[in-house]
Amino acid sequence: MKALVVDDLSKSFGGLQALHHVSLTVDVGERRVLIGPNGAGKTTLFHTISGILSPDSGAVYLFGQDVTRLLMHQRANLQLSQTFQLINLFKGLTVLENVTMALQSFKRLQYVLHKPFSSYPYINHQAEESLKQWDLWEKRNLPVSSLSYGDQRMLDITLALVSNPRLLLMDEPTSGLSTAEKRAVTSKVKALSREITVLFIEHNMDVALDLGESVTVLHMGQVVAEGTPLEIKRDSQVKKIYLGAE
Amino acid sequence: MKRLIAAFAILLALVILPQFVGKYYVNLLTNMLIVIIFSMSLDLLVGYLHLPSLGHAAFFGVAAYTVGIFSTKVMNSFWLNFPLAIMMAGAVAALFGLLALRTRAGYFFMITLALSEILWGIAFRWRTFTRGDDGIPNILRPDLGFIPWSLLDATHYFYFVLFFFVVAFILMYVIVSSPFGRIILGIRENELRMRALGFNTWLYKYACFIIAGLFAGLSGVLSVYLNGFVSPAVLHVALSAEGLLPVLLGGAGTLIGPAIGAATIVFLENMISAYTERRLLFLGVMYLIVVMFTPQGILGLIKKMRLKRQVKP
Amino acid sequence: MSFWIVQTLNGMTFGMVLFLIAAGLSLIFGLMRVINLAHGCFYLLGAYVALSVIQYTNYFLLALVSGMIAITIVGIAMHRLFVHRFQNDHQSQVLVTLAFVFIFSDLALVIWGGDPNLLPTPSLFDGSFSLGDIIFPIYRLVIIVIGVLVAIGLWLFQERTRLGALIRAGVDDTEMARGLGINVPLLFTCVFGMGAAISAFGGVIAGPFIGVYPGLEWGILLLAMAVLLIGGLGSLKGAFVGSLIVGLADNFGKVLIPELALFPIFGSVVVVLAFRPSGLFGKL
Repeated sequence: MKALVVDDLSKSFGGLQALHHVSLTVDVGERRVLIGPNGAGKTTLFHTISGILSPDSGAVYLFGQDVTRLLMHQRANLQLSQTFQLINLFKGLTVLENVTMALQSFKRLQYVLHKPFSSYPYINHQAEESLKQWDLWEKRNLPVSSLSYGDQRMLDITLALVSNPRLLLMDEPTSGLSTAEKRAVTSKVKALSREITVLFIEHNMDVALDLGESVTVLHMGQVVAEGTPLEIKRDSQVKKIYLGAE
Repeated sequence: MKRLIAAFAILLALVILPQFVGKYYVNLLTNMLIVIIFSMSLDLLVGYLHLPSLGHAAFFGVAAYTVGIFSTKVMNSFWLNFPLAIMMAGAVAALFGLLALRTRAGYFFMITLALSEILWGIAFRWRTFTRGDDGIPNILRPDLGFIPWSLLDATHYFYFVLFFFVVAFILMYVIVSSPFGRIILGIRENELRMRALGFNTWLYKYACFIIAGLFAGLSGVLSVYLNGFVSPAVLHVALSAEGLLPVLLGGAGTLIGPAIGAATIVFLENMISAYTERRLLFLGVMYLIVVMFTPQGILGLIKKMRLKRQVKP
Repeated sequence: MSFWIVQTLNGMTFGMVLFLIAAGLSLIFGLMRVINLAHGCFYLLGAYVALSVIQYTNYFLLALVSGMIAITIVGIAMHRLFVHRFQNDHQSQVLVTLAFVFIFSDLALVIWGGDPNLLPTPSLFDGSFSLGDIIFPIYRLVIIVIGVLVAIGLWLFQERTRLGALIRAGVDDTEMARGLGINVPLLFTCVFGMGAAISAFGGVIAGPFIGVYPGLEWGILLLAMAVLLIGGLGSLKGAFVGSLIVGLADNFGKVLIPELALFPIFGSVVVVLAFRPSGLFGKL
């Protein structure tokens, strides 16, 4: 069974064809990176996989299940997690509160109206574990707005991992980070268990070819090349696309 | 802990006060409690969900009319009319929620306003049912059956309303502090992320909308028994606006804020009405002042002052 | 048969009046994302000002122009001084307009009293038109014609003029428009003023058959909102089609089922919202 199958997916916005018969298969445990010049449709593809957008035609299969008609939260409950290009946290809350919010979903602590939230200490204990793993425990009571951009990105990924996802989508996880921060994020992602399949978009070639074990190249809404990082580095068509686009 | 003591003190004051003031002020206090319940229920939408509703009067009015119609045409039984009226308010909220929650924020204002005004129009024109503009008079306070408490006396009715006020306050507070309440907060802060985390955000908004409607219905029932009269005015946007102003004045999203705001507005209006009939003008000007100078409300101002004091060495 | 024709014409007349208000409301929302709740007040005040002018001078045209100018000034002042401060805070902007509804309606009550008034029909269009056994007031036909002309005029304005293009650009992308050097705040104030003017125009010309009375500022706003919910915000075509639907529904409702007159409108709003939440031609 494949972790993710995108089957002949097309999506257009008004007159603009964003995705054109895109097909993609990701194996369980794979580290697949999606690259391509700006406007290639990478984020649009992500949005159709996660459920923010509905494709015009084609299908998306998550671990063998057809999720094309499912809503975003339903896909999330099938253990699909994502981080966004623009860091998307609960800015008004503290670091700890961000994680406990994510945990409420995973631990199914949702439709309780009659007891105070504070009477569920196990949520905080679970949050402690996650935060310690990502070196954020010390900063747990700080409001998110006071964190550095790198720390915010770490928290972003922490939130996505809280639910033990089987498929993790990351849209440019290292954009805007310093070199040191990039290295920190990359090493943490590399250390993730193989039970998690990772599909990510990256603009930084070094990170992409370092972290990714296989590469899919998207250009003008179509898949133009797939292969190992080495193959892609040597691919003349890919070079043309990037040099031409610059 | 400090808050609990303050709450207790206020409760004690409310219990003792009617013994010392005349009937007019007892009724004023009763009305104040009712407006507080209404405003707090609106805060669930405005402050906790950031859904600005201008149609909250719909739930208030539907409950009021249910009581009015049933107690004058069917029977004046508290045990029938009270739950029925509140359920009707909830049913209307369930219907409105389906229509209003499908769209974006800009539309929400309009749809809630339009829907409640349509109900107003129906109450206005459907004379055989609602007696239209004339309204339904002579709505008597009901007999409580086996509970030996006569509601006819102003002070007795005050304590009756006080009881429901305390119950409503506690319930709303519990809901807001519960896991459910926390998710509502999350939806307010970042709905997209909540959906990405697996929460069915629409369902939460819908549930919250209905809960708010139920509490608004409660205030409607208590109000109609206080006044003994119901007219299309209970469905008019002016009432929704009168409920929204306290939320803004006191500070949205806090429950206590709207309570403070409502108490303030009720007393200010009472003072103003002694000098002039220009209630609506007063309402409009207060709105301008609040929106322009204290958009975060009284509690917001207090928070700002506290922060300033902390920063100063 | 003649009954149906007359009632259809009545509905169209009312529809055209609604169009005048809905068009302004839609324009303002489409550009600024603000629901101007005071829009009904512009209608009301325009009619009241015209009423006063007619009572003193007996010239309908003068009353029409005075009403429009007066309300345009009020609208521009209201926007510049109060609404504009909250440019990106749409919720506050709507609340400011709400505040003004209460202020305007109470002031109107003080100045013009609580009794309903009817503007006199301009003598030029007095009388009825008869074809077979259909008798219909000439003035109402004139209103239908005016409404269609205004609709065409607005469409031409939107599609063919520079200002119209600016407005369309602003509707699509305010940031981009600003980046291109368009004075967006001035544009906003202009549009707000235009909306006020058209609304006042509607109030005056409808004065002879709708009249003017306290409460109208909400009644007409509600119908205009129903028009936009059905037709879709931000679309001129939607405003036109929606106005005709609501005008006809309201009129036939009043005539056939007077007590449940609001149900046809209510029903239409609910049906459209249920199947097409952004209205029939909604762009936003």
